[in-house]
Amino acid sequence: MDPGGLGATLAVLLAASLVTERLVTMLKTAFPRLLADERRTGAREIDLVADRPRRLMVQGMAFAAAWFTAAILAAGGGPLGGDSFFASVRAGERLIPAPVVALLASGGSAFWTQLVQWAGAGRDRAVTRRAVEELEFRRVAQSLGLPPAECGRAGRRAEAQLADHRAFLLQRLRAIAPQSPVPAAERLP
Amino acid sequence: MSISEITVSAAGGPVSLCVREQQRPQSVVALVWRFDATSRREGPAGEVTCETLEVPLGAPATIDGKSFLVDGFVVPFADHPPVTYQVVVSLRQDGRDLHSAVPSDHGSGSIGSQEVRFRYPFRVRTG
Repeated sequence: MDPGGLGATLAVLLAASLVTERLVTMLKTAFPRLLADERRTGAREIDLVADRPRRLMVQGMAFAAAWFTAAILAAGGGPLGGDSFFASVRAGERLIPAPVVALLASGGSAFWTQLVQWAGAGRDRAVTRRAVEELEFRRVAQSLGLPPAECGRAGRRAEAQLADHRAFLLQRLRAIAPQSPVPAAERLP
Repeated sequence: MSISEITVSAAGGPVSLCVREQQRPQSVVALVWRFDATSRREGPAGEVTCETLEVPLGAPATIDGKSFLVDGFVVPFADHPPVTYQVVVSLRQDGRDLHSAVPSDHGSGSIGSQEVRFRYPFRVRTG
């Protein structure tokens, strides 16, 4: 199999899949109750049986949108006619019938949805990490009695040095062990 | 240095000790030593750190007649010029302060880049 040709085929399929995904999203936005609201059980789980008609409708619309896109690609910039829907789409060296392109592209909807969810989760993680760093920053500033603008790397270093100093002084106190509650002046070790 | 006599309620709950610097609570570290009625050292009663500002001393019956010594340092923040500090030692029982004092031994003053050692001895009586 020619790798170059496969790349072109995948590019066509991915592009068609992306367009299909966008078309389906637009339709779901336009008709949310019909297409976007999942049927759920009393326990808030998806009711696969009750939700079947909606899922079939969405998949049918995805196939229709993908077939429409494939027909446009098959028309190759020319007028879109009835025969475009059964013509072939050029993908590199290959000619793929428009219905087959539609079938392959419409199956990618779930893939794109997952990709968008991953990207969203990654963005949420970054936002959460920034918020945590901001709170830690302010905590360090507060502990040093400084406004946050004066902290940062220097503040974090100073906080670590302060903690070391406290630990050192506590160690000195443990070593003293006074002999009476009212000690005379003692030399510190 | 004289030793303070503090009376706690014999019928009350456990007694605890709180040591803090008024402006920067996290700038004090201290060890609390316990001594018996004959002023012989029994051992450390607890440590005051920036995470633990309050040290439990025990039930009134167990600490009646015992002496304690709060031996600590005010930790410097490299202030320039030096800033004033004030250490307050409080004895608490049943959620309220029975006794608060600023140690006469370097319990207040100014601090710059060097730590300052303070000490506060007291004896507990039940009444």
